[in-house]
Amino acid sequence: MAPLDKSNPAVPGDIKFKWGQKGRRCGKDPRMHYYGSFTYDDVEYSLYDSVYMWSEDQPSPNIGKIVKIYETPLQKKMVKIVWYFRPAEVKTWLKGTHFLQNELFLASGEGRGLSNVNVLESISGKCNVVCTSKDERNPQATVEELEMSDYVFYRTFDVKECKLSKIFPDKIAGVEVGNYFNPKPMGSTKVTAVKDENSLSGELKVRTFWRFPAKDAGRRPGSSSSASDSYPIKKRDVYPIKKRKLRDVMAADERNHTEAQSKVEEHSKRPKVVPSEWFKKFPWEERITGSEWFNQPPWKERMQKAKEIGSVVLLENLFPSFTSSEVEDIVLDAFNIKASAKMIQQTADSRPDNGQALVIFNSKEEADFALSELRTKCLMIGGQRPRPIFGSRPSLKEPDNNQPKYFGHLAIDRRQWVNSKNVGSASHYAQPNTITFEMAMEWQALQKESELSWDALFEQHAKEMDDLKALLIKDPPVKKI
Amino acid sequence: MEPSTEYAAFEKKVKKTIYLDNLSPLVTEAVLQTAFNQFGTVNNVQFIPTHFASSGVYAALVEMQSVRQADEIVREMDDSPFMISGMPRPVRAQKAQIEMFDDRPKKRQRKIVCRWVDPSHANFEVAKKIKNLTKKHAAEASFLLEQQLAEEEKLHNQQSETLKANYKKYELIDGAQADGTAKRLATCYETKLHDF
Repeated sequence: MAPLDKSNPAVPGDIKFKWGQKGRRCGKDPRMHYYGSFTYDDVEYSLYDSVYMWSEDQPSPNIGKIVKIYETPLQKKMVKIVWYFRPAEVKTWLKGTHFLQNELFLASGEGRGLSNVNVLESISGKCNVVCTSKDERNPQATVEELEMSDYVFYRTFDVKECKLSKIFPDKIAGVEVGNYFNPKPMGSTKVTAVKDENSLSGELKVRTFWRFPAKDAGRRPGSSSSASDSYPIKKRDVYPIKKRKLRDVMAADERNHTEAQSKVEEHSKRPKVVPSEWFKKFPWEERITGSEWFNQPPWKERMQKAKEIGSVVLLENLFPSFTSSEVEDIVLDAFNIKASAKMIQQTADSRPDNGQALVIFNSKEEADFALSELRTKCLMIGGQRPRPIFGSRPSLKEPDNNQPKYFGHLAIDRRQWVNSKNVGSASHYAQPNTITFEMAMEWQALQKESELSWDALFEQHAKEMDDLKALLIKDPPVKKI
Repeated sequence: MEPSTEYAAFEKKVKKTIYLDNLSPLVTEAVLQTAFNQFGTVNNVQFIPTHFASSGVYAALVEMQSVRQADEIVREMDDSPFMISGMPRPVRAQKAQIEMFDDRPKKRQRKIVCRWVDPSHANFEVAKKIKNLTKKHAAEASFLLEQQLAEEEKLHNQQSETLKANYKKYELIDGAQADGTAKRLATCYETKLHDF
């Protein structure tokens, strides 16, 4: 076929296009040309490939599977796409179910949201989606394929019933389900014959419309949860888009977006920033603990005194699962000093895997001694997975001053607004359609952004730590001082 | 060995607890109690103490009566923004973690092996590197925290400006209605004036 005409106003003239294999289907309209593959912008696409579809005003691309490729008599190139849903897009129907970070759901059933016909030029790249379903019709993916994949799916989301299911029906959007599974490993990898009954003229009458994600991380969740009976879809014409360079834009945005979405999910179920190592149990040996403590004045008072005399030490890199009394035992073992300790409570911004404790020694000399010991020699805790503990003098907060800086609460001095509630101590949900709601959304978006940054930072930290820790030589448990 | 019953009870408590942050420092226990009593019954409220001069987070642990209540609250707060003691910044709720608690019982009796490593031992160098890495991580984390605060301040100022502008508009409209300008304009243009 001839390359795309420069005179075609729909697409910027730069993007190269070439038809590939011709399809064998015979439709009612003989002027419809079906194809099995095409090359667009130097990337070859075939029938049943998974692709990114991205239009300018969308924050992130949608992912779908090409189930039909054709050219209309008016020389418009069209593709029919069956959609994959991201978990965040169908969040309201997912309450309680668990899903993976890079998981998608294949659309199934009948109705809006299942598939759309779009101009071919709205394809913005190929996507590697692997099916991990245990359905016997699905060739299982190899480990390498899984590692290379961008996304996986093993469940379908019925757009009519709005339900998730592991069962794959025989046909989706009129196409045999075998085409949705992984390609067969041997022989012909792609099925080019399209067996669906929909007459093409019937499809042409359907206006092209764009599936509207139910939710975007941090934007207007209120509207979709109120309209929960019908799947929210916006009808809009799809315009061919400016081609984006896949590598540059996609990589960063895609990762952030999937992370954002999955974190949005995990937020409601598990605390964020928890690498799975957090709860790894180490095989400890058993022992009855010894130290008895006589009654002491409450921690705050002791802390105050200790600060004054300078006997507070901060121990770091402990196992976060330690309790305060265990820390006291360690101090006793290591330095032969009885001190009182308190594990610092972790907050959302604490570094995971780094247990911290404040130790109050009985005098400054003891504290100095402990610190110098820790500095010159090295105290290792743990038999199987030892880690070095180190200490420092913490810069503690003065009790009187500084409340932590807090931004975000605005006040109106004089009168109330027409549509706002009392700005006071009332705790409430923001009503949509108020300015408060919009502003609250902005805060939520900011929060999600910062969560992403923290997650990325902690992941990196964990990796760096693991790399170093791997270098530690494991000795058999040795004499103590 | 099985974790002690004390620990099991503690774990249950953790599951019923919500970790809240993005709280205004002005929030008190009473405020949190009333706020969350709307959703269920609050068993206990505990603020997480901030020891360090540099800590920016103000957070609390609210224990509800049942795990289900806690789950529901966390989910709802994720969907719609909930404000406590001021607008428009919403609080953030998550399920609590064991490490967030201070007074935790021991999971099981265990012996902690600790030993001093001689400087001549090969591990000493590695241990030193780990120490330095931890320090680096701490610096990175506090930098990120600073960045976060800067962003928050920016958003706050931005919203404050928007609010003031909106407020001025309302004042203008109200002023026009009050002194009869609006009515006169209405008769001038021969349109009806509706009172809201």
